[in-house]
Amino acid sequence: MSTKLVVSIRPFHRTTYAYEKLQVCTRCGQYTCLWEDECTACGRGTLISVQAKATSRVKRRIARDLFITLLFGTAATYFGETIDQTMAAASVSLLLLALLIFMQKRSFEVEQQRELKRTLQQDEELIRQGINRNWALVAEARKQDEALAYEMLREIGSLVYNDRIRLQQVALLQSFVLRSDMDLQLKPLLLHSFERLLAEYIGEIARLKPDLIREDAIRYIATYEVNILQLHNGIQILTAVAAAAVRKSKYIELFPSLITRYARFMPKDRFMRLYHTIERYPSKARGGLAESVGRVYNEKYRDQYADVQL
Amino acid sequence: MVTYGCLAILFLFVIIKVIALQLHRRKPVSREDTDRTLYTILNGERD
Repeated sequence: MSTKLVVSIRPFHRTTYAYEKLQVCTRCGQYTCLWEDECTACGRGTLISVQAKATSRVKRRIARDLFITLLFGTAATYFGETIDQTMAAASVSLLLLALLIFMQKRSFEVEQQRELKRTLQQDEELIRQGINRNWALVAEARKQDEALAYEMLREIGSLVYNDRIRLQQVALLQSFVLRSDMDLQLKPLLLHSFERLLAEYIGEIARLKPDLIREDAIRYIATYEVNILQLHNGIQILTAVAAAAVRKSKYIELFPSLITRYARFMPKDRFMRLYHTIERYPSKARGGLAESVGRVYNEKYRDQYADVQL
Repeated sequence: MVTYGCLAILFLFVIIKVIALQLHRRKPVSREDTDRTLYTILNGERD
C-alpha cells in the first residue's frame, strides 16, 4: 500500500481572463504560464505580462506616429517661403498633431486590446512551445517536489484542456493526504472517460468538500457507476457522492436512481436530510425514490424516532 | 512648394490614422474574444 504524502498546496491564483496568466520574456521571446521570476530559457529576469508587451507595442507605434507628424510639420514650417506661409504651416501642423494626440488617447484601450490579440496570433507557435516547455518542467519538478508539480500542472491545466494533464493532476492529488482546508478543484479535472483515480478522488471530495460535488461530477459518477462498483471501495464512493447530492433538491430530482440505490448506506444525517426534503417536496422524488426512502426509514430509523417521541 | 508637399503628406497621414482609429473603435476586440483566441491556439477549434 503506497503511503500518501502530507503536503501544503498554495491556493490557486484565479484570473478574470486566461491571457492574464501568460508572461513573455522580452529577451528571448519565450512564453510561460507559470509564476516564474526568471525566464527558464535564457535565465534572465526579463519576464513581463502579455498585456504589458501589447501596451509597449502600442506606445511605440504612437511615438512613431507622433514623430512622423512632428517631422513633416517641422519640415513644412521650416521650408515656408514667406512669414505667412510659415505661420500657416505651423498652425496646420499643430492642429493635425493635436487631432492625432486626441484620437490616440481616446483609442488607447481599444488599440491595446487589438494589439494583444494580434500578439497572441503572431506568436501562436511560441506560445505553444512555451506551454509545452512548462509541461516538460513538471516532470523534473515531480522528482523533487510533488506539490509543486501539482501546482504547475494546475496552472497549465487552466489553459490547456487535455485529459492527459487532468489525469496527471488527479494522479498527484491521489498521492497526497487531502484535507478540507486545501484549495481543491473538481470540475476542471473531469475526464471524458472512466478513470479509477478520478472516481476515487471524487469519492474523497464528496467526503471532504461536498459543495464541490455538482451536477457534472454526479453525472460522471452515474455514467460510470458499473465501473465504479468493480472497485474495492466502489460502494463507498457511490454512497459518498449520493450523500453529497442530497444537499440540493435539484440533484435529488436529477439523479433519483443513483440516490435510491445508495440511500440505505448513507450516514444518518444525510439520509434524514433526504427524508425531510422528500417530505417537504414530494414532487422532487421521482422513479420510486419516495417509496425506497420510506422503506429505509421504516427499517432503520423509525423506532429511534418513535422512542424520542415517547 | 516643399511646404505644401509636406503639409499634404502630413494631412493624408493624420487623416488615414484618424479614420483607422475610428474604425477600430466601432468594432473593438473584447477581452473574451482575446481569451477565445488563446484557447483556440492552445486547444484547437472547439464546437
